[in-house]
Amino acid sequence: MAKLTVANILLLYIFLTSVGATDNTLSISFAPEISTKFTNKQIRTIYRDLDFLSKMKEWRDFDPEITRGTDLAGGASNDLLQWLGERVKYLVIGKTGALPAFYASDETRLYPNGDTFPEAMDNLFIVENHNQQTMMANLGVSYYLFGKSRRRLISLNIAEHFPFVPEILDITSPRVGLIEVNRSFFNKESSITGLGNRPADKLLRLSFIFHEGRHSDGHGESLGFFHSTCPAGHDYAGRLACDTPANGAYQVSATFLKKSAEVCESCDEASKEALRLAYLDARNRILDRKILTPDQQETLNELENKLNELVRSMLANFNSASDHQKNILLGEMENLEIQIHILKNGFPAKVYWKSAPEALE
Amino acid sequence: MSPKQIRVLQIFIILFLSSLTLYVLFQEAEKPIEETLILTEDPPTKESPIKSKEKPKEEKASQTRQKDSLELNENQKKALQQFERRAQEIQSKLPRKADLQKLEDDQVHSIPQELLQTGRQLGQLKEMVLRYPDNPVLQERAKEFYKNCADDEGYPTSIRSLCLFNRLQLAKNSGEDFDISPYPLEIKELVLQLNPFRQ
Repeated sequence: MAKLTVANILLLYIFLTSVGATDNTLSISFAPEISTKFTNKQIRTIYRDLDFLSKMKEWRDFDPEITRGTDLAGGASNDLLQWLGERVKYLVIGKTGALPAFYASDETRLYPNGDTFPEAMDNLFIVENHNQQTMMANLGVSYYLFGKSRRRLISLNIAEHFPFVPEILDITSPRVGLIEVNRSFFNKESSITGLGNRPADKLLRLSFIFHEGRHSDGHGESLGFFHSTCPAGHDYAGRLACDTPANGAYQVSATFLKKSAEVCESCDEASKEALRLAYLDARNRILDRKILTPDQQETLNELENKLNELVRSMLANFNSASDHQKNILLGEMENLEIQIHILKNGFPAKVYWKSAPEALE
Repeated sequence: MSPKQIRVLQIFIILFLSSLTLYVLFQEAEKPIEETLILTEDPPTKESPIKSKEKPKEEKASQTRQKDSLELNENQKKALQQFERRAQEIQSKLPRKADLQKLEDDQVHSIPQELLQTGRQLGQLKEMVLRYPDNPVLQERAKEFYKNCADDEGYPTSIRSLCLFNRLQLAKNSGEDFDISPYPLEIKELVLQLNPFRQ
Protein backbone atom coordinates (compact mmCIF):
# COMPACT_ATOMS: atom_id res chain seq x y z
CA MET A 1 0.00 0.00 0.00
CA ALA A 2 1.33 3.47 -0.94
CA LYS A 3 2.60 5.65 1.85
CA LEU A 4 0.29 8.43 2.94
CA THR A 5 2.79 11.16 2.15
CA VAL A 6 2.10 14.79 1.33
CA ALA A 7 3.13 14.21 -2.27
CA ASN A 8 0.70 11.33 -2.71
CA ILE A 9 -2.12 13.34 -1.19
CA LEU A 10 -1.35 16.21 -3.53
CA LEU A 11 -1.49 13.85 -6.51
CA LEU A 12 -4.75 12.40 -5.23
CA TYR A 13 -6.16 15.92 -4.87
CA ILE A 14 -5.21 16.85 -8.43
CA PHE A 15 -6.65 13.60 -9.76
CA LEU A 16 -9.96 13.97 -7.93
CA THR A 17 -10.50 17.59 -8.95
CA SER A 18 -9.72 16.81 -12.57
CA VAL A 19 -12.39 14.07 -12.54
CA GLY A 20 -14.94 16.74 -11.68
CA ALA A 21 -13.97 18.66 -14.79
CA THR A 22 -15.18 16.05 -17.31
CA ASP A 23 -17.93 18.45 -18.32
CA ASN A 24 -15.25 20.33 -20.23
CA THR A 25 -14.25 17.32 -22.28
CA LEU A 26 -14.95 18.02 -25.93
CA SER A 27 -15.03 15.58 -28.80
CA ILE A 28 -15.73 17.79 -31.80
CA SER A 29 -14.15 16.97 -35.13
CA PHE A 30 -14.38 20.54 -36.36
CA ALA A 31 -13.62 23.79 -34.65
CA PRO A 32 -13.00 27.15 -36.28
CA GLU A 33 -10.14 29.40 -35.31
CA ILE A 34 -11.53 31.73 -32.69
CA SER A 35 -10.06 35.18 -32.21
CA THR A 36 -8.21 35.97 -29.01
CA LYS A 37 -10.50 38.98 -28.64
CA PHE A 38 -13.35 36.74 -27.49
CA THR A 39 -13.74 36.22 -23.76
CA ASN A 40 -13.11 32.76 -22.34
CA LYS A 41 -16.80 32.38 -21.62
CA GLN A 42 -17.70 33.21 -25.22
CA ILE A 43 -15.15 30.72 -26.52
CA ARG A 44 -16.50 28.03 -24.22
CA THR A 45 -20.03 28.73 -25.45
CA ILE A 46 -19.01 28.23 -29.07
CA TYR A 47 -17.10 25.05 -28.37
CA ARG A 48 -19.88 23.62 -26.25
CA ASP A 49 -22.43 24.34 -28.94
CA LEU A 50 -20.34 22.47 -31.50
CA ASP A 51 -19.73 19.68 -29.03
CA PHE A 52 -23.46 19.40 -28.43
CA LEU A 53 -24.02 19.06 -32.16
CA SER A 54 -21.35 16.41 -32.48
CA LYS A 55 -22.97 14.33 -29.74
CA MET A 56 -26.46 14.46 -31.13
CA LYS A 57 -27.69 11.19 -32.51
CA GLU A 58 -28.36 10.66 -36.16
CA TRP A 59 -30.42 13.29 -37.87
CA ARG A 60 -33.22 12.18 -40.10
CA ASP A 61 -32.56 12.52 -43.80
CA PHE A 62 -33.03 15.94 -45.26
CA ASP A 63 -35.24 16.57 -48.27
CA PRO A 64 -33.22 15.33 -51.27
CA GLU A 65 -33.89 18.56 -53.15
CA ILE A 66 -32.51 20.56 -50.25
CA THR A 67 -29.49 18.31 -50.06
CA ARG A 68 -28.97 18.68 -53.77
CA GLY A 69 -29.27 22.45 -53.60
CA THR A 70 -27.23 23.10 -50.47
CA ASP A 71 -25.01 20.02 -50.01
CA LEU A 72 -26.52 19.86 -46.55
CA ALA A 73 -27.18 16.21 -45.78
CA GLY A 74 -28.68 14.56 -42.78
CA GLY A 75 -27.58 11.23 -41.48
CA ALA A 76 -24.81 11.93 -39.03
CA SER A 77 -23.80 14.98 -37.05
CA ASN A 78 -20.29 14.71 -38.46
CA ASP A 79 -21.68 15.36 -41.93
CA LEU A 80 -23.14 18.60 -40.71
CA LEU A 81 -19.94 19.52 -38.93
CA GLN A 82 -17.97 18.80 -42.07
CA TRP A 83 -20.28 21.05 -44.06
CA LEU A 84 -19.71 23.76 -41.49
CA GLY A 85 -15.97 23.20 -41.38
CA GLU A 86 -15.70 23.87 -45.11
CA ARG A 87 -17.42 27.22 -44.77
CA VAL A 88 -16.68 28.67 -41.32
CA LYS A 89 -12.98 28.87 -40.52
CA TYR A 90 -12.32 32.04 -38.57
CA LEU A 91 -14.46 33.79 -36.00
CA VAL A 92 -13.81 37.40 -34.98
CA ILE A 93 -15.74 39.41 -32.41
CA GLY A 94 -17.60 42.45 -33.65
CA LYS A 95 -18.04 45.94 -32.25
CA THR A 96 -15.34 46.09 -29.59
CA GLY A 97 -12.76 44.07 -31.47
CA ALA A 98 -11.03 45.85 -34.28
CA LEU A 99 -11.20 44.17 -37.65
CA PRO A 100 -7.98 42.79 -39.07
CA ALA A 101 -6.11 45.32 -41.15
CA PHE A 102 -6.51 44.63 -44.85
CA TYR A 103 -4.31 45.30 -47.81
CA ALA A 104 -5.00 45.37 -51.51
CA SER A 105 -2.41 44.02 -53.89
CA ASP A 106 -0.72 46.42 -56.28
CA GLU A 107 -1.12 44.18 -59.28
CA THR A 108 -4.40 43.55 -61.02
CA ARG A 109 -5.93 40.14 -60.54
CA LEU A 110 -8.33 38.43 -62.89
CA TYR A 111 -11.20 37.02 -60.92
CA PRO A 112 -13.36 34.14 -62.19
CA ASN A 113 -16.74 35.27 -63.57
CA GLY A 114 -15.07 38.67 -63.62
CA ASP A 115 -18.04 40.69 -64.84
CA THR A 116 -20.74 38.81 -63.00
CA PHE A 117 -21.75 40.03 -59.61
CA PRO A 118 -24.70 39.19 -57.37
CA GLU A 119 -27.83 41.28 -57.88
CA ALA A 120 -27.99 42.32 -54.25
CA MET A 121 -24.60 43.46 -53.08
CA ASP A 122 -25.69 44.96 -49.79
CA ASN A 123 -22.47 44.02 -48.15
CA LEU A 124 -20.15 45.57 -50.71
CA PHE A 125 -19.50 48.64 -48.63
CA ILE A 126 -19.24 46.83 -45.35
CA VAL A 127 -15.49 46.82 -45.71
CA GLU A 128 -15.13 50.52 -46.39
CA ASN A 129 -17.75 51.68 -43.97
CA HIS A 130 -17.90 48.90 -41.49
CA ASN A 131 -20.61 49.18 -38.93
CA GLN A 132 -21.46 45.72 -37.78
CA GLN A 133 -24.92 45.70 -36.31
CA THR A 134 -26.32 42.31 -37.22
CA MET A 135 -25.69 39.38 -34.94
CA MET A 136 -23.30 37.76 -37.38
CA ALA A 137 -21.82 38.66 -40.74
CA ASN A 138 -19.77 36.77 -43.30
CA LEU A 139 -16.83 39.08 -43.80
CA GLY A 140 -14.97 36.68 -46.03
CA VAL A 141 -17.41 37.09 -48.91
CA SER A 142 -17.50 40.85 -48.37
CA TYR A 143 -13.71 41.13 -48.60
CA TYR A 144 -13.72 38.83 -51.62
CA LEU A 145 -16.31 40.94 -53.42
CA PHE A 146 -14.44 44.08 -52.47
CA GLY A 147 -11.33 42.68 -54.10
CA LYS A 148 -13.22 41.37 -57.12
CA SER A 149 -14.86 44.75 -57.75
CA ARG A 150 -11.41 46.38 -57.76
CA ARG A 151 -9.58 43.47 -59.35
CA ARG A 152 -7.15 43.39 -56.49
CA LEU A 153 -6.27 40.59 -54.13
CA ILE A 154 -7.25 41.47 -50.60
CA SER A 155 -5.10 40.19 -47.77
CA LEU A 156 -5.63 40.45 -44.06
CA ASN A 157 -3.10 40.59 -41.24
CA ILE A 158 -4.71 38.33 -38.70
CA ALA A 159 -1.79 37.89 -36.32
CA GLU A 160 -3.41 39.94 -33.61
CA HIS A 161 -6.54 37.79 -33.70
CA PHE A 162 -5.08 34.39 -34.44
CA PRO A 163 -1.52 34.10 -33.16
CA PHE A 164 -1.15 30.41 -34.02
CA VAL A 165 -1.92 30.53 -37.75
CA PRO A 166 -0.01 32.17 -40.62
CA GLU A 167 -0.01 35.93 -40.21
CA ILE A 168 -1.40 36.85 -43.62
CA LEU A 169 -4.73 35.56 -44.89
CA ASP A 170 -5.27 35.96 -48.62
CA ILE A 171 -8.92 36.30 -49.55
CA THR A 172 -8.89 34.13 -52.64
CA SER A 173 -12.40 32.75 -52.21
CA PRO A 174 -15.55 33.39 -50.17
CA ARG A 175 -14.73 30.03 -48.62
CA VAL A 176 -12.06 31.77 -46.57
CA GLY A 177 -14.87 31.55 -44.03
CA LEU A 178 -14.19 34.69 -41.99
CA ILE A 179 -17.24 35.31 -39.82
CA GLU A 180 -17.85 38.25 -37.53
CA VAL A 181 -19.85 37.58 -34.38
CA ASN A 182 -21.57 40.35 -32.45
CA ARG A 183 -21.84 40.19 -28.69
CA SER A 184 -25.61 39.89 -28.97
CA PHE A 185 -25.00 36.35 -30.25
CA PHE A 186 -24.23 35.35 -26.67
CA ASN A 187 -27.05 37.29 -24.98
CA LYS A 188 -29.69 35.33 -23.10
CA GLU A 189 -32.36 37.49 -24.69
CA SER A 190 -31.26 36.18 -28.09
CA SER A 191 -31.87 32.59 -27.04
CA ILE A 192 -34.82 30.23 -27.30
CA THR A 193 -35.36 29.71 -23.58
CA GLY A 194 -34.08 33.05 -22.32
CA LEU A 195 -31.47 31.17 -20.33
CA GLY A 196 -28.79 30.76 -22.96
CA ASN A 197 -27.39 27.35 -22.16
CA ARG A 198 -30.19 24.90 -22.90
CA PRO A 199 -30.04 22.46 -25.82
CA ALA A 200 -32.51 24.52 -27.84
CA ASP A 201 -30.39 27.65 -27.26
CA LYS A 202 -27.34 25.87 -28.63
CA LEU A 203 -29.31 24.74 -31.66
CA LEU A 204 -30.52 28.28 -32.38
CA ARG A 205 -26.99 29.65 -32.21
CA LEU A 206 -25.81 26.83 -34.44
CA SER A 207 -28.52 27.71 -36.96
CA PHE A 208 -27.07 31.23 -37.16
CA ILE A 209 -23.60 29.80 -37.81
CA PHE A 210 -24.97 27.51 -40.52
CA HIS A 211 -26.75 30.49 -42.05
CA GLU A 212 -23.52 32.49 -42.26
CA GLY A 213 -21.70 29.46 -43.56
CA ARG A 214 -23.99 29.38 -46.57
CA HIS A 215 -22.85 32.89 -47.51
CA SER A 216 -19.42 31.33 -48.15
CA ASP A 217 -20.78 29.59 -51.23
CA GLY A 218 -21.72 30.61 -54.72
CA HIS A 219 -20.08 32.03 -57.81
CA GLY A 220 -20.98 34.76 -60.26
CA GLU A 221 -24.58 35.71 -59.73
CA SER A 222 -24.99 33.40 -56.75
CA LEU A 223 -21.79 34.53 -55.05
CA GLY A 224 -22.41 34.96 -51.37
CA PHE A 225 -26.13 34.10 -51.66
CA PHE A 226 -27.02 37.64 -50.73
CA HIS A 227 -30.46 38.44 -49.40
CA SER A 228 -33.28 40.06 -51.31
CA THR A 229 -35.77 42.73 -50.37
CA CYS A 230 -38.94 41.31 -48.85
CA PRO A 231 -42.00 42.27 -50.92
CA ALA A 232 -44.95 44.41 -49.85
CA GLY A 233 -47.25 42.62 -47.46
CA HIS A 234 -44.48 40.44 -46.10
CA ASP A 235 -43.73 40.43 -42.38
CA TYR A 236 -40.43 42.16 -43.19
CA ALA A 237 -41.60 44.16 -46.17
CA GLY A 238 -38.94 46.43 -47.59
CA ARG A 239 -36.07 44.87 -45.64
CA LEU A 240 -33.08 42.93 -46.95
CA ALA A 241 -34.27 39.96 -44.98
CA CYS A 242 -35.56 37.52 -47.57
CA ASP A 243 -34.05 35.12 -50.09
CA THR A 244 -34.99 34.72 -53.72
CA PRO A 245 -33.19 31.46 -54.44
CA ALA A 246 -34.72 28.50 -52.67
CA ASN A 247 -31.28 27.21 -51.63
CA GLY A 248 -29.91 30.28 -49.91
CA ALA A 249 -28.91 31.03 -46.35
CA TYR A 250 -32.44 31.11 -44.92
CA GLN A 251 -33.15 27.69 -46.42
CA VAL A 252 -30.09 26.31 -44.65
CA SER A 253 -31.04 27.78 -41.27
CA ALA A 254 -34.70 26.83 -41.75
CA THR A 255 -33.79 23.24 -42.57
CA PHE A 256 -31.49 23.03 -39.58
CA LEU A 257 -34.13 24.46 -37.24
CA LYS A 258 -36.87 22.17 -38.52
CA LYS A 259 -34.72 19.10 -38.06
CA SER A 260 -33.61 20.32 -34.64
CA ALA A 261 -37.20 20.45 -33.45
CA GLU A 262 -37.72 16.91 -34.74
CA VAL A 263 -34.61 15.19 -33.43
CA CYS A 264 -33.65 17.04 -30.25
CA GLU A 265 -34.35 14.46 -27.56
CA SER A 266 -33.09 16.65 -24.73
CA CYS A 267 -35.38 19.55 -25.71
CA ASP A 268 -38.64 19.90 -23.81
CA GLU A 269 -41.89 20.52 -25.65
CA ALA A 270 -41.78 24.25 -24.96
CA SER A 271 -38.35 24.52 -26.57
CA LYS A 272 -39.46 22.48 -29.58
CA GLU A 273 -42.42 24.80 -30.05
CA ALA A 274 -40.09 27.80 -29.99
CA LEU A 275 -37.76 26.07 -32.48
CA ARG A 276 -40.77 25.53 -34.76
CA LEU A 277 -41.55 29.24 -34.62
CA ALA A 278 -37.93 30.03 -35.47
CA TYR A 279 -38.19 27.63 -38.41
CA LEU A 280 -41.42 29.22 -39.63
CA ASP A 281 -39.85 32.68 -39.40
CA ALA A 282 -36.88 31.56 -41.51
CA ARG A 283 -38.93 29.53 -43.99
CA ASN A 284 -41.31 32.40 -44.58
CA ARG A 285 -38.39 34.52 -45.80
CA ILE A 286 -37.79 32.29 -48.81
CA LEU A 287 -39.59 33.98 -51.66
CA ASP A 288 -40.80 31.29 -53.99
CA ARG A 289 -43.68 33.00 -55.68
CA LYS A 290 -44.09 34.23 -59.19
CA ILE A 291 -46.88 36.12 -60.91
CA LEU A 292 -49.42 33.68 -62.29
CA THR A 293 -51.53 33.94 -65.44
CA PRO A 294 -55.32 33.78 -64.92
CA ASP A 295 -55.35 30.14 -66.08
CA GLN A 296 -52.58 29.25 -63.70
CA GLN A 297 -54.40 31.05 -60.90
CA GLU A 298 -57.52 29.04 -61.65
CA THR A 299 -55.54 25.82 -61.57
CA LEU A 300 -53.96 26.90 -58.32
CA ASN A 301 -57.38 27.57 -56.82
CA GLU A 302 -58.51 24.08 -57.81
CA LEU A 303 -55.44 22.50 -56.29
CA GLU A 304 -55.94 24.49 -53.13
CA ASN A 305 -59.56 23.34 -52.88
CA LYS A 306 -58.45 19.74 -53.27
CA LEU A 307 -55.91 20.27 -50.52
CA ASN A 308 -58.56 21.72 -48.20
CA GLU A 309 -60.81 18.72 -48.81
CA LEU A 310 -57.98 16.28 -48.32
CA VAL A 311 -57.11 17.82 -44.94
CA ARG A 312 -60.75 17.56 -43.87
CA SER A 313 -60.83 13.96 -44.98
CA MET A 314 -57.67 13.30 -43.07
CA LEU A 315 -59.12 14.81 -39.91
CA ALA A 316 -62.38 12.89 -40.27
CA ASN A 317 -60.68 9.53 -40.76
CA PHE A 318 -57.48 9.94 -38.78
CA ASN A 319 -58.55 7.96 -35.73
CA SER A 320 -60.30 5.20 -37.63
CA ALA A 321 -58.07 4.78 -40.66
CA SER A 322 -55.39 2.13 -40.86
CA ASP A 323 -51.75 3.14 -41.24
CA HIS A 324 -51.90 2.12 -44.88
CA GLN A 325 -54.90 4.36 -45.55
CA LYS A 326 -53.25 7.25 -43.71
CA ASN A 327 -50.12 6.86 -45.79
CA ILE A 328 -52.19 6.96 -48.97
CA LEU A 329 -53.85 10.18 -47.86
CA LEU A 330 -50.52 11.68 -46.80
CA GLY A 331 -49.05 10.72 -50.15
CA GLU A 332 -51.91 12.46 -51.96
CA MET A 333 -51.39 15.51 -49.77
CA GLU A 334 -47.67 15.64 -50.50
CA ASN A 335 -48.37 15.19 -54.18
CA LEU A 336 -50.76 18.15 -54.13
CA GLU A 337 -48.21 20.25 -52.27
CA ILE A 338 -45.63 19.51 -54.95
CA GLN A 339 -48.05 20.43 -57.71
CA ILE A 340 -48.86 23.71 -55.97
CA HIS A 341 -45.19 24.40 -55.43
CA ILE A 342 -44.34 23.73 -59.09
CA LEU A 343 -47.20 25.92 -60.28
CA LYS A 344 -46.27 28.83 -58.04
CA ASN A 345 -42.55 28.68 -58.60
CA GLY A 346 -42.01 27.15 -61.99
CA PHE A 347 -39.89 24.05 -62.15
CA PRO A 348 -37.28 24.16 -61.04
CA ALA A 349 -37.77 27.02 -58.62
CA LYS A 350 -35.01 29.57 -58.68
CA VAL A 351 -32.21 27.46 -57.34
CA TYR A 352 -28.54 27.90 -58.00
CA TRP A 353 -27.91 24.18 -58.32
CA LYS A 354 -24.21 24.68 -58.81
CA SER A 355 -23.36 26.70 -55.77
CA ALA A 356 -19.70 25.80 -55.46
CA PRO A 357 -17.65 28.86 -54.52
CA GLU A 358 -15.47 30.63 -57.04
CA ALA A 359 -11.81 31.16 -56.21
CA LEU A 360 -8.76 33.06 -57.37
CA GLU A 361 -5.99 30.84 -58.59
CA MET B 1 3.71 9.54 10.57
CA SER B 2 4.88 12.38 12.81
CA PRO B 3 2.33 14.70 14.44
CA LYS B 4 3.47 17.45 12.11
CA GLN B 5 2.74 15.32 9.04
CA ILE B 6 -0.62 14.35 10.46
CA ARG B 7 -1.43 18.02 10.98
CA VAL B 8 -0.43 18.82 7.39
CA LEU B 9 -2.53 15.94 6.16
CA GLN B 10 -5.55 17.17 8.12
CA ILE B 11 -5.16 20.68 6.69
CA PHE B 12 -4.85 19.24 3.22
CA ILE B 13 -7.99 17.15 3.58
CA ILE B 14 -9.93 20.15 4.86
CA LEU B 15 -8.69 22.27 1.94
CA PHE B 16 -9.54 19.54 -0.53
CA LEU B 17 -13.07 19.04 0.78
CA SER B 18 -13.65 22.80 0.85
CA SER B 19 -12.55 23.28 -2.72
CA LEU B 20 -14.59 20.29 -3.84
CA THR B 21 -17.64 21.73 -2.13
CA LEU B 22 -17.08 25.13 -3.72
CA TYR B 23 -16.66 23.50 -7.12
CA VAL B 24 -19.93 21.60 -6.80
CA LEU B 25 -21.75 24.69 -5.60
CA PHE B 26 -20.32 26.71 -8.47
CA GLN B 27 -21.51 24.15 -11.00
CA GLU B 28 -24.97 24.20 -9.47
CA ALA B 29 -25.00 28.00 -9.44
CA GLU B 30 -24.25 28.04 -13.18
CA LYS B 31 -27.33 26.01 -13.83
CA PRO B 32 -30.15 28.48 -14.21
CA ILE B 33 -33.30 28.13 -12.23
CA GLU B 34 -35.79 26.56 -14.52
CA GLU B 35 -38.88 28.48 -15.23
CA THR B 36 -41.63 26.41 -13.80
CA LEU B 37 -45.28 26.70 -14.24
CA ILE B 38 -46.90 27.19 -10.90
CA LEU B 39 -49.53 24.55 -11.15
CA THR B 40 -50.95 22.10 -8.75
CA GLU B 41 -48.72 19.09 -8.41
CA ASP B 42 -51.63 16.69 -8.22
CA PRO B 43 -51.95 14.53 -11.31
CA PRO B 44 -55.08 14.92 -13.40
CA THR B 45 -57.92 12.96 -11.90
CA LYS B 46 -61.24 11.84 -13.16
CA GLU B 47 -64.01 14.36 -12.99
CA SER B 48 -66.00 14.25 -9.78
CA PRO B 49 -69.79 14.30 -10.00
CA ILE B 50 -71.62 17.57 -9.62
CA LYS B 51 -72.63 17.92 -6.01
CA SER B 52 -74.48 21.19 -6.00
CA LYS B 53 -77.55 21.58 -8.16
CA GLU B 54 -78.05 25.25 -7.45
CA LYS B 55 -76.79 27.52 -10.22
CA PRO B 56 -76.51 31.32 -9.88
CA LYS B 57 -78.36 33.44 -12.40
CA GLU B 58 -75.79 34.95 -14.85
CA GLU B 59 -75.40 35.82 -18.52
CA LYS B 60 -75.41 32.92 -20.96
CA ALA B 61 -71.64 32.94 -21.72
CA SER B 62 -70.58 33.06 -18.12
CA GLN B 63 -73.29 30.53 -17.22
CA THR B 64 -71.80 28.16 -19.76
CA ARG B 65 -68.31 28.74 -18.43
CA GLN B 66 -69.44 28.26 -14.88
CA LYS B 67 -71.26 25.09 -15.85
CA ASP B 68 -68.08 23.86 -17.51
CA SER B 69 -66.15 24.65 -14.38
CA LEU B 70 -68.65 22.90 -12.17
CA GLU B 71 -68.10 19.69 -14.14
CA LEU B 72 -64.41 19.79 -13.37
CA ASN B 73 -62.72 18.73 -10.20
CA GLU B 74 -60.68 21.19 -8.20
CA ASN B 75 -57.39 20.34 -9.86
CA GLN B 76 -58.87 20.75 -13.29
CA LYS B 77 -60.45 24.05 -12.35
CA LYS B 78 -57.12 25.34 -11.08
CA ALA B 79 -55.39 24.21 -14.25
CA LEU B 80 -58.08 25.82 -16.34
CA GLN B 81 -57.83 29.12 -14.48
CA GLN B 82 -54.09 29.08 -14.84
CA PHE B 83 -54.35 28.31 -18.53
CA GLU B 84 -56.90 31.05 -19.18
CA ARG B 85 -54.83 33.59 -17.31
CA ARG B 86 -51.69 32.62 -19.15
CA ALA B 87 -53.40 32.54 -22.52
CA GLN B 88 -54.78 36.02 -21.95
CA GLU B 89 -51.37 37.34 -20.94
CA ILE B 90 -49.74 35.82 -23.99
CA GLN B 91 -52.42 37.03 -26.36
CA SER B 92 -52.01 40.58 -25.10
CA LYS B 93 -48.27 40.41 -25.75
CA LEU B 94 -48.22 38.70 -29.15
CA PRO B 95 -46.29 40.95 -31.52
CA ARG B 96 -48.14 42.21 -34.58
CA LYS B 97 -46.82 42.71 -38.08
CA ALA B 98 -46.76 46.43 -37.43
CA ASP B 99 -44.45 45.84 -34.47
CA LEU B 100 -41.98 43.97 -36.65
CA GLN B 101 -42.07 46.80 -39.16
CA LYS B 102 -40.79 49.20 -36.51
CA LEU B 103 -37.66 47.18 -35.87
CA GLU B 104 -34.28 48.22 -37.21
CA ASP B 105 -32.75 46.38 -40.17
CA ASP B 106 -30.17 44.59 -38.08
CA GLN B 107 -32.87 43.37 -35.71
CA VAL B 108 -34.73 41.51 -38.45
CA HIS B 109 -31.81 39.89 -40.21
CA SER B 110 -32.33 36.91 -37.93
CA ILE B 111 -35.39 36.05 -35.87
CA PRO B 112 -36.26 39.13 -33.78
CA GLN B 113 -36.12 38.90 -30.01
CA GLU B 114 -39.83 39.66 -29.89
CA LEU B 115 -40.54 36.44 -31.77
CA LEU B 116 -38.12 34.47 -29.63
CA GLN B 117 -40.01 35.61 -26.57
CA THR B 118 -43.28 34.69 -28.25
CA GLY B 119 -41.91 31.25 -29.00
CA ARG B 120 -41.05 30.77 -25.33
CA GLN B 121 -44.51 31.81 -24.24
CA LEU B 122 -46.34 29.72 -26.82
CA GLY B 123 -44.14 26.83 -25.84
CA GLN B 124 -45.17 27.13 -22.20
CA LEU B 125 -48.80 27.25 -23.26
CA LYS B 126 -48.40 24.15 -25.37
CA GLU B 127 -46.91 22.30 -22.44
CA MET B 128 -50.01 23.09 -20.44
CA VAL B 129 -52.21 21.79 -23.23
CA LEU B 130 -50.22 18.58 -23.43
CA ARG B 131 -50.15 18.18 -19.67
CA TYR B 132 -53.94 18.13 -19.36
CA PRO B 133 -55.33 16.13 -22.29
CA ASP B 134 -58.21 14.93 -20.09
CA ASN B 135 -59.38 18.40 -19.20
CA PRO B 136 -62.00 18.97 -21.90
CA VAL B 137 -62.65 22.60 -21.05
CA LEU B 138 -58.97 23.46 -21.10
CA GLN B 139 -58.67 21.74 -24.46
CA GLU B 140 -61.58 23.78 -25.80
CA ARG B 141 -60.03 27.01 -24.54
CA ALA B 142 -56.80 26.03 -26.25
CA LYS B 143 -58.65 25.51 -29.51
CA GLU B 144 -60.22 28.95 -29.16
CA PHE B 145 -56.86 30.54 -28.45
CA TYR B 146 -55.14 28.94 -31.41
CA LYS B 147 -58.02 29.67 -33.76
CA ASN B 148 -58.21 33.34 -32.74
CA CYS B 149 -54.48 33.62 -33.21
CA ALA B 150 -54.53 31.94 -36.65
CA ASP B 151 -57.49 34.04 -37.80
CA ASP B 152 -55.96 37.40 -36.98
CA GLU B 153 -54.38 38.89 -40.10
CA GLY B 154 -52.50 41.38 -38.00
CA TYR B 155 -50.19 38.74 -36.60
CA PRO B 156 -47.00 37.76 -38.42
CA THR B 157 -47.26 34.80 -40.76
CA SER B 158 -44.98 32.67 -38.60
CA ILE B 159 -47.17 33.09 -35.52
CA ARG B 160 -50.39 32.47 -37.43
CA SER B 161 -48.87 29.36 -38.97
CA LEU B 162 -47.77 27.96 -35.63
CA CYS B 163 -51.22 28.61 -34.16
CA LEU B 164 -52.92 26.93 -37.11
CA PHE B 165 -50.55 23.99 -36.78
CA ASN B 166 -51.54 23.54 -33.14
CA ARG B 167 -55.22 24.03 -33.91
CA LEU B 168 -54.99 21.33 -36.56
CA GLN B 169 -53.25 18.97 -34.17
CA LEU B 170 -55.97 19.45 -31.56
CA ALA B 171 -58.58 18.75 -34.23
CA LYS B 172 -56.71 15.63 -35.28
CA ASN B 173 -56.48 14.38 -31.70
CA SER B 174 -60.19 14.86 -31.05
CA GLY B 175 -61.42 13.64 -34.43
CA GLU B 176 -62.94 17.05 -35.06
CA ASP B 177 -64.03 18.40 -38.43
CA PHE B 178 -61.97 21.55 -38.94
CA ASP B 179 -61.96 23.48 -42.18
CA ILE B 180 -58.67 25.13 -43.20
CA SER B 181 -60.00 26.64 -46.44
CA PRO B 182 -60.40 30.19 -45.04
CA TYR B 183 -56.67 30.46 -44.41
CA PRO B 184 -54.18 31.83 -46.95
CA LEU B 185 -52.35 29.24 -48.99
CA GLU B 186 -48.94 30.47 -47.82
CA ILE B 187 -49.92 29.72 -44.22
CA LYS B 188 -51.32 26.31 -45.09
CA GLU B 189 -48.13 25.43 -46.92
CA LEU B 190 -46.03 26.41 -43.92
CA VAL B 191 -48.25 24.38 -41.62
CA LEU B 192 -48.01 21.28 -43.78
CA GLN B 193 -44.21 21.64 -43.85
CA LEU B 194 -44.36 20.88 -40.12
CA ASN B 195 -46.06 17.56 -40.88
CA PRO B 196 -49.01 17.92 -38.49
CA PHE B 197 -50.29 14.48 -39.33
CA ARG B 198 -47.01 12.72 -38.73
CA GLN B 199 -46.51 14.03 -35.20
